[in-house]
Amino acid sequence: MDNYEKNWENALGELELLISKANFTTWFKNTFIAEENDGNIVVGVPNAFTKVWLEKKYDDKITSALESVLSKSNLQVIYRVESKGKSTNVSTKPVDQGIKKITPVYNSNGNSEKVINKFGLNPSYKFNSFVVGPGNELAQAAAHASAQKPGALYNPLFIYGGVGLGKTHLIQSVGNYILAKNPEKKILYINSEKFTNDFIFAIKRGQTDQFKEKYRSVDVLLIDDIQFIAGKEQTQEEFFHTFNALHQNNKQIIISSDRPPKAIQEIENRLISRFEWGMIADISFPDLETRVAILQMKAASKNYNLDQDIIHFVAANIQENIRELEGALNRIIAFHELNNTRPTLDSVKSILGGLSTNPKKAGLTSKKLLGVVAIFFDIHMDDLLGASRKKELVVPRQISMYLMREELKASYPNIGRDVGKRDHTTAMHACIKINKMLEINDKIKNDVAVLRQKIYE
Amino acid sequence: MRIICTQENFNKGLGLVSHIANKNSNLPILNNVLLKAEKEGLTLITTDLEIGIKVFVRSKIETPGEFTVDAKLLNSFVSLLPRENIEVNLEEGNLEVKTKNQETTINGMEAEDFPLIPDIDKENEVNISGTALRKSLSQAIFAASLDTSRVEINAVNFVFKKDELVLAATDSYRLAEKKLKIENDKEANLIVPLKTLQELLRILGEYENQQVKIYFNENQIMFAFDGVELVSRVIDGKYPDYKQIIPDDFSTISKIKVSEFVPAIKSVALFCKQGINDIRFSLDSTKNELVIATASSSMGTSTAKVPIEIKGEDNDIVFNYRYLLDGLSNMSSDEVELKINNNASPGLIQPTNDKNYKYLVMPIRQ
Repeated sequence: MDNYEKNWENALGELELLISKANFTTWFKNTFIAEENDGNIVVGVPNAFTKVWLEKKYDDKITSALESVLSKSNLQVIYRVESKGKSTNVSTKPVDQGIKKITPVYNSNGNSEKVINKFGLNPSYKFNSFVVGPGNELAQAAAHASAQKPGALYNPLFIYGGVGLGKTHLIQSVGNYILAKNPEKKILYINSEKFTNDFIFAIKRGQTDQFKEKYRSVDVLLIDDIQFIAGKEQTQEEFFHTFNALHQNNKQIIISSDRPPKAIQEIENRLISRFEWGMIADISFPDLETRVAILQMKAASKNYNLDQDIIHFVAANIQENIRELEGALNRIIAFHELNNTRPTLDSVKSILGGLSTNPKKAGLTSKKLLGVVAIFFDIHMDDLLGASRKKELVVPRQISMYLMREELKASYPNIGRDVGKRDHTTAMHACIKINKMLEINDKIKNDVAVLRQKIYE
Repeated sequence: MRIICTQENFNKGLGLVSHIANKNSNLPILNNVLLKAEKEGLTLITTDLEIGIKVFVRSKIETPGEFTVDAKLLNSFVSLLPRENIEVNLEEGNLEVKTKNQETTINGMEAEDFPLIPDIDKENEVNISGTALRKSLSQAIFAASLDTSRVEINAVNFVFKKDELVLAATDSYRLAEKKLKIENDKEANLIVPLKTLQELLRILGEYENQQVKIYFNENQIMFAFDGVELVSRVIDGKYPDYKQIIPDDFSTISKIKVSEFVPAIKSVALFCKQGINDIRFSLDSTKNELVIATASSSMGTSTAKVPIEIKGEDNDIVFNYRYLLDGLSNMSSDEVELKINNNASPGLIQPTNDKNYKYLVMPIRQ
C-alpha cells in the first residue's frame, strides 16, 4: 500500500464516523488520493455526481479529516473525475520505485524472494529468460503467440509437463508480456487450489456474486496446476461456467497441468473436452544442450561466472528437473562464496557428490517402488506380484519392472525375483515392451512420468 | 412549498422522470423524485447517479420550496387522479396532495439529502433535430452489446466531426454505423452508455419536432430540449476501432426488395437450429437469384428463392438470421443492398436510398 492509499484509508476511517453508512458507501466508493503537493490534495472520484456532492456537502469534513491525518493545516482539497487504474504519473511513481528497489536484491543474492505484483505475477518470469529447447519449443511458441494476440489464436492453451520444467514460468511470461504491452489489461494468475479456496470462501460468506465478478471480468486468466480441481465437483462446475463466460468473450485462458486433460482423473468430461478445444502443448524433459543453456542463463542472472566444463558437468549429472538444476547451481555459488574460493571441477564434483547420495534417492527400494505403483493403479500388492495375466495387472507389473531397471539400476534376475519370483527374461521383455510403448502410447508415457515423481516423494 | 398544477402536466412530468428512480439499497433517497418549486415553476428531478433527469413542469408556484417523495408511488397515484387542478403542499414534513374530492398525505425525505445533478458548462454545444436524432439513434442502438460487464460496447459511440455526427454500436457480432449531417465545428469522441440512450429515446418519443441541444465535456453529456435535461456520465475508455473491419470492396453486390427478403428469411428460419440461428444465403449471378436455406436442421429443411439483382461473382455465406432481421427492420427503405466477399468476411447491408447507414454482420463459419 503506498502512502496515498494509507492516508486516504485513515481519512476515510474518520469520515465513516461522521456520515451515515448509506451515504458513506455511496459517495466514497472508488475514491482515492490522486495527487498531493504542498497544500493541495487532489481526490479522484468516479463520476461527476460524486464530484459535486463531495464539493458541496462533504468538503469541510473531508478537508478536516485529511488535515488531521496529515497533521497539516490550511489544506486545499480539489476533486477530479478520474478512474483509479490510470491515475496520473505522479501517483504511480512510488509503486515503480518500490519494484525497482526490490528487484536488484532478488538478482544479487539469488534468494527466491519473490516480487509478486497485484495480478499474482512474478515479474522475473519473462519470455526472454525462458530457455527454448526441443522439449518445450511448441509450448513456448504457442504461449508466445497467445501473448501477442490474446484470445485470438489458441484459446484455451493447455500446457502440461512434469514438475519443475517451466510451466509456471511459461504461463506467467504470457501475463507479464501482455501487461508490459498494455498495462490496462486485467490479468489473473492463480493456481487451481486458490480458485477452490476462493470459491469455498465465497460460498461461506454468501458472496458468490463478487467471486463471479472477480473471475469473469478479467481479460486473461492463467490457471496453474488445474489437476488439483479433480474430484471437486462444485468447483469444477463453477470453473466450467467461468471458462465459458471468458471463452465466449474471447478472453485468453491458459491452463497448466502435470498431465494431459484426458489423464486427469475425476474430472468431468465437459471440462476435458473444453481443455482440448484450443491447443494442447507439452513440456518434456530438457536435453543436455538446453540444460547447459539454462545453467548459463541462471548463472548470468545471478552475476556469477562459471567455467564451461563445470556447467557441462552439472548439466550432465542433473537430468530431469530444472528446479534441481537451479538448486545445484545455488549450492555451488553459496559454497564458494562462503569459502571465498573460485569453483573448480573438483570442488563442484565434491559438492554434487552430496547430491547423488541424496537421501531421497537413496531411500528408494524395490519394495517401496512396487508399493507406489500398486497405489497409483489402485490394485492390490498381491495381485501386482501374483500370477494373473489380466491386462490391467500386466501393464502395471511391466511398468514396475521398467522403473526398477531404470531408477534402481537393478539387474534383470533381481527384478524377476522381486516381482513375484519371475524369470529374468520376463523382466527383460517387460523393459523392452515399456520402452516401446513409451514412444507410441501417451497414457503409459504419462503414467511413467508421474510415477517417476511419485516414487521419490 | 405550495404548488398548483394541472393533472396532465404533473402526470406527464412524473412519467418522464420516475423511470430511472430505481430501488437502490445503498441510498434509499434515490427512489425518490425531488420536487423543486421556484418562482419560474416546478422542476422534477430523479437520478441513479449515472443518469440525472430534470423536467420542468408548468405550474403556479404560490410558495417556493423543495421536498422528495417516492417517485413510483407519486407517479402511480397522480396518474389515477381526475383531470383537474392538483394542489401540492408541504405540511409538517409530509407532502399533501389535494384535488376537489381527495386528500392524501405522502411521507418523504428532506430535499437536502438528494444528490445534486452536476452542471455542465455550455461551451460545447451542438444542435440537432430531435426527430433525426431519434431515428438515427434507433438505427444504431439495437446493435449495442447488452453485456453490462463490457461497458465500452454496452454503449453507443458518438463521434462529433465538422458538420457530422457519427453514431456507432456493436456487440462484436454485428455493427451499425449511422452518419448524420449536423451543423457543428466541435470535435469529440464520446462513449455514451446504452441505458442513457434508451432513456433518451423513451423521452424523445413523448415529444415531436423538438430541437435537441447536446452539451458535453470529457466526463459528461447532456441532452436538453423543451424543459427536459438529461445528464449522463460518459464511459471512460476507448471505443473499438471498428473502421478497419468494414471491407472497402465487395466481390458480390446485390439489390433485394425488403418486402420479399424478410418473409423469406422468417419462414426458412423456423427450421434452423435453435440458439445458432444459422441460415445459408447462396447468390447465383447467372439466374439473378438468392437462395435462402436452412444451414443445419433439426426440425426439417426449407429453401426459399428470392429474385434479386446481382453484380459480381456467385457467393455463399451463412448468417445468424436474427442479426439480419434486426438490421432489415431498421433500414426504412423498400430496397437494400447486400454486399459480401466470401463466407469468412463480414457482409454489409445498406438501404439503397441512404449511403449514410451501414449495417455489418459477421458470418457464421461452418
